Amino acid sequence: MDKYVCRICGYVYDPAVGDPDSGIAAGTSFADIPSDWVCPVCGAAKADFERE
Amino acid sequence: MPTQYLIVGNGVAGTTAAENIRAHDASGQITMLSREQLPFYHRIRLIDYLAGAVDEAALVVKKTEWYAERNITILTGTMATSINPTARSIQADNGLTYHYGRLLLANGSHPFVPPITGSKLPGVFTLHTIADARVITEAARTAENVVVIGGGLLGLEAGNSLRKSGKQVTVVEFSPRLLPRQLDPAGAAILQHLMESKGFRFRLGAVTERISGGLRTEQIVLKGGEILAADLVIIAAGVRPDLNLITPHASIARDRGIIVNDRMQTTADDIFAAGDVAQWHDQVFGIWPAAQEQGKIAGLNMAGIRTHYNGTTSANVLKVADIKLASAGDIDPENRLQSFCITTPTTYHKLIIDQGKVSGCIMLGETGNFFKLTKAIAERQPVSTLASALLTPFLDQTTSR
Repeated sequence: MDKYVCRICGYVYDPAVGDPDSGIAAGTSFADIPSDWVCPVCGAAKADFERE
Repeated sequence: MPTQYLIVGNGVAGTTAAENIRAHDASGQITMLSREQLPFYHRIRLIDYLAGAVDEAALVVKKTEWYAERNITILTGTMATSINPTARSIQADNGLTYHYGRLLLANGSHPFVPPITGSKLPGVFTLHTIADARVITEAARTAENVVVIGGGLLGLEAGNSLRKSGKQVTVVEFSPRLLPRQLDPAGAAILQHLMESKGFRFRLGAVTERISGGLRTEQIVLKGGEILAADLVIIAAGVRPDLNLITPHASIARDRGIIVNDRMQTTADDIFAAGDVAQWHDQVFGIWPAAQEQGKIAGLNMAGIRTHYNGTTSANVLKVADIKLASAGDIDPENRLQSFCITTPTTYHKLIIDQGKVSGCIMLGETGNFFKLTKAIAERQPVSTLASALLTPFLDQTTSR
């Protein structure tokens, strides 16, 4: 599964890790993350991410 | 004897510093002072709060548990009022004195308010903190005509938040174009057209002479005499570093911001600075990624790890719904450098090349791979080695490479 990077701050979403603090389990692909999820570092929206 | 770390400011610079200090110093005492009531929150998302899209709880980045897990003491609603570098202490508005072995000044910036008559009338606001956002949200409930003074990123985004709830929004900008630091004239003209079709009005090359009204703001008068109805005014004319703490101390050098070296050290022993308050190599960045990186470098150096900050490429993304705009590096507004440029009625893509190296980009429309382009700009990558996927938006599709 692809990693995605936040264009605002550079945070990398790694599907292997997920974002457990926000309720995104490890193994969740970026596409499957709910649309209201935001970058845990800077708050940018999903739309501000690009594939790494 | 464990080191006493004291951090003034609970924004991204201060919090990232605290995180990095703890990662390398398990026993040091870390205390953070913040004059705001809310713990570390996404300042970037205040405009979403203003639009009613998120609540305050969603804005908080680090919950109380995060600090407790790392044994970091955070004192909110506690404002530092003075430093005593000789005694190595900070006085706060709660009357208490906090001692430090190493101090980080990460107290950020405040909105600049130009000297406009009437700027203190009720109904005139700046937007920097959650407290500001709350009062603007309240005032916006009965407002119909909003004037935003300042056509930069915050002005346009705040204006858009209010436009979405049905207000008439007029943006007054001193420069002859919108987003003068992120866009060249050609790109700005296209953005203006896109925003006008969403209902914005603009007055460019315009100066506010005064804000007038009886008990509260009612009108803006521009130089030249035009009058704009204004029952809510947002002044978004940029920010200035908060220098009040260091002003009395000649030993802490400052210019527009607190001057720091590559290790984020100020000119005073064991005092560091990072984020909006800091000036590095003549630059005050004012963007989240720079504050984050500077906070990290400051924290590492404070914990005894010698590492250098190498700057942050100026990169901005406009968050106005349905309009994708991203800009980074030297945008070359006067077209003095070579560039690859594609213009359509609704899009604009320009890649600026300086001596064969990628030095800036403007993407209005398709913004895929913006982060990778920002990295290429940061690394001064030769355009000849740039991946073709990154170049595609800037090249005429009918030409073969």
